[in-house]
Amino acid sequence: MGFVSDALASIGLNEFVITLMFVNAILAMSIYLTLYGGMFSLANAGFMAIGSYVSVILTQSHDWPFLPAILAGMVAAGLIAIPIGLPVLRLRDIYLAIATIGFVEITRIMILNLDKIIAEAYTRLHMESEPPKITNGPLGITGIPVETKLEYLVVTVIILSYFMIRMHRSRFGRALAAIRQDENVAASQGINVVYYKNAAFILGAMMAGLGGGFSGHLSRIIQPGSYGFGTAVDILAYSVLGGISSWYGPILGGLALTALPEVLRPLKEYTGLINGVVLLIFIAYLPGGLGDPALWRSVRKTVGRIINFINKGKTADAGA
Amino acid sequence: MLVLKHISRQFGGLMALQNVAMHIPAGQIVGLIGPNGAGKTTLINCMTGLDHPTAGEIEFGGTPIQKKPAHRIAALGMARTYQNIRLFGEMTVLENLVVAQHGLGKANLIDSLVQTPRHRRENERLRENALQLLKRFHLEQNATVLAGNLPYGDQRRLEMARALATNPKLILLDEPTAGMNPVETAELGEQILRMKAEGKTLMVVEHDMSLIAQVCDEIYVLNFGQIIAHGTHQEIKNNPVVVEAYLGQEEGE
Repeated sequence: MGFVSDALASIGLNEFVITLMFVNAILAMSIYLTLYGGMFSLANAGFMAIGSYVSVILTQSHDWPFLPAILAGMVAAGLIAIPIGLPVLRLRDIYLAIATIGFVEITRIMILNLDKIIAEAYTRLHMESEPPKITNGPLGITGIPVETKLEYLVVTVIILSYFMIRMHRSRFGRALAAIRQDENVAASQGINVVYYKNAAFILGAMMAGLGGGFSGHLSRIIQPGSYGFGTAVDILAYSVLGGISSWYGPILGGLALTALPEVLRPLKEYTGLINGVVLLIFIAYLPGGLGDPALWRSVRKTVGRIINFINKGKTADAGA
Repeated sequence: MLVLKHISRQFGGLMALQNVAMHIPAGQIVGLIGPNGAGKTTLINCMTGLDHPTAGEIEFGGTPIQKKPAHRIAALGMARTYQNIRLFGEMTVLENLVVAQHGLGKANLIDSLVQTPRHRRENERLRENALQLLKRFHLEQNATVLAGNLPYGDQRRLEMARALATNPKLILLDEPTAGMNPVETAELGEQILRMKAEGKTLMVVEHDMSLIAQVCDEIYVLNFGQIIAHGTHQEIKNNPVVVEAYLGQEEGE
């Protein structure tokens, strides 16, 4: 084990980076769920923020243990997804994307100004006591001890993978796939489209909230600025690079996209440039993403051929 | 089985359907014909809940359904096919028929996650039903083919099988012969009559008069959103109003 981690660290993947890779894999899985139901929702950055803030506030200000706090953040994100999903999921495609980006920005600004709003309310209501500081505005919450461990994340990813595999073969998953392919036909076959869309949206929100809780207890500091448009696009990029034709695609995408800039770090000022070029090449030549089953079939075939070729060479050597 | 009273559907200034009254008796095959743009598909959409009439009532087996969402109406026992084929193209033929039986199943996500006996039994039963439907429509050798890759005639048959998969009481067929040759059309007619013999009620929207003549007990003619004639095939054929709607008015000599 020590040998492996040393080797990984030598290419820039120290334990912190690997932990972050798995956090982002969870976030990628969260957006996969809505994409699987045909919903182009970018709301997950907002749910990540909610999960992150709720769990960090619980552990830091209310002395909750790590695990219950993380789960509370997950539930909070799921609860907030209910009133958001009902109106917003009537929209489709790019309109849904725009509306959910709106939600992400509203969440960020709410977190940014929450303390100010509370203080304002206190003066209006002539309350004597000092208004509490909850989110601490733009400065964010600092000095959070690192409690997220790689083991927790690996276990979580395994549990979520099991969930995805089962989901695909369930009545629930089949209904989502039908809705993605033709919403009206799905409804005419007796599928309650509104119910399934909202259920997938809420489950996705809970996964994002969980990912947020882990990330909040990894980065030592959380600020509203970390959960804006850029994060929403990053999460989308994980699932696009990984591909959504298989459940493991987004995991690969989340892992790879987080690792890439770290691996490229020795290139110094060219890191960002090469990172972008690699992404472009992937999207242009692998539209099915890293998790495209067709890609893996062809890889297996090629490897098989190479092994065959080597074996033949050996027998030829032995014969000679 | 299905009764339409004073159905109107207005799109802005356009009256797509105007005061339509229809009655589809149980166990019969009713034809609906009319020139392009007469409002036939709008009418079907209103019946199945994909669209809702702006005025009027629709009763299905005694239940008013004009305001119900599509999945509720499907659960009451209505199924349909589409004029331009709308299969789940990324699923296999078999999966199309399994997902079509959604309303017959009860397993929830928890059942599937812990693999309860309910989940397993249900999956088994839905698969079995699907395989039987495949046999009936001569699609069994294509069970694992993606529906989007099927030849055209097979796609049409799969749509019909999918409509039957929900075990409906009433089936609405929207131009089932579109793009079919006469042999396939005749075979389709046999399938439709077989459904009737099994006690299903059907409505067939068609252009192909040979199919209408072969299967329909009575026929409604729709033009510019209004029912202009109603009767048996013989009565419709000789009705001057219908002839005029299809062929235009004769020039006065």
